[in-house]
Amino acid sequence: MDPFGSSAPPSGASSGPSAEAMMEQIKTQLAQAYAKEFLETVGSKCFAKCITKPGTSISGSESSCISRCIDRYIEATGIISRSLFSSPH
Amino acid sequence: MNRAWLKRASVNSSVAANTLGFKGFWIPLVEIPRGFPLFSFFVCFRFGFLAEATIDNSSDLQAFLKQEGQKAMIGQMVGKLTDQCWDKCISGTPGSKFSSKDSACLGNCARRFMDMSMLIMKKLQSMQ
Repeated sequence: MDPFGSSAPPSGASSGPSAEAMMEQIKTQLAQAYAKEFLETVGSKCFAKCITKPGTSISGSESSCISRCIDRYIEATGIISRSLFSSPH
Repeated sequence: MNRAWLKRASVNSSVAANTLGFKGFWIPLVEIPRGFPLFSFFVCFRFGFLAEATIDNSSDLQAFLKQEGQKAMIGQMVGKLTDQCWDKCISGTPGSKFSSKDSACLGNCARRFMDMSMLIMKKLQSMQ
């Protein structure tokens, strides 16, 4: 019984150019989706931390804050992925 | 318990997620007791989206999709965790490096999240 509906199984060759092209396309789409999500998250976090009172332009202190924020966020991503995969339960 | 269906299924979660624009965090439920009405699925915690596994006969494509799916799943989990742990651990304006307190908090945050996920799975299994 399948209350949620099956998705149609993919047709096509098991290997060969069409499958490879699809694999490449999938990899590209994944990378793009990941980059998009990362940009949205970093933008949201750093806007919240650094631009507390929006002025007529971004000040020097705000832009260095943003730069540090991006570095810290990337560092945080590294810390978290290392913690997930290095410490056993 | 017959788990052949679980081994056969390879979830096209990454393609589904991108195609349908679903973001969120996917965890696999690796042990689904018999009698549970749903088949193998990945649960997207943010949207409650249940994806039916797609079964493909081609072993190349299947292996690739499984590997890419797993990588995408892990990547999304890390992204979501960093998002939430940042909010929990980093107060104030970011400096030029993390204090030891902040980096310890981030590491603990990730590990406690995994502990919690285990607890959730155990609880769900005990409810069957």
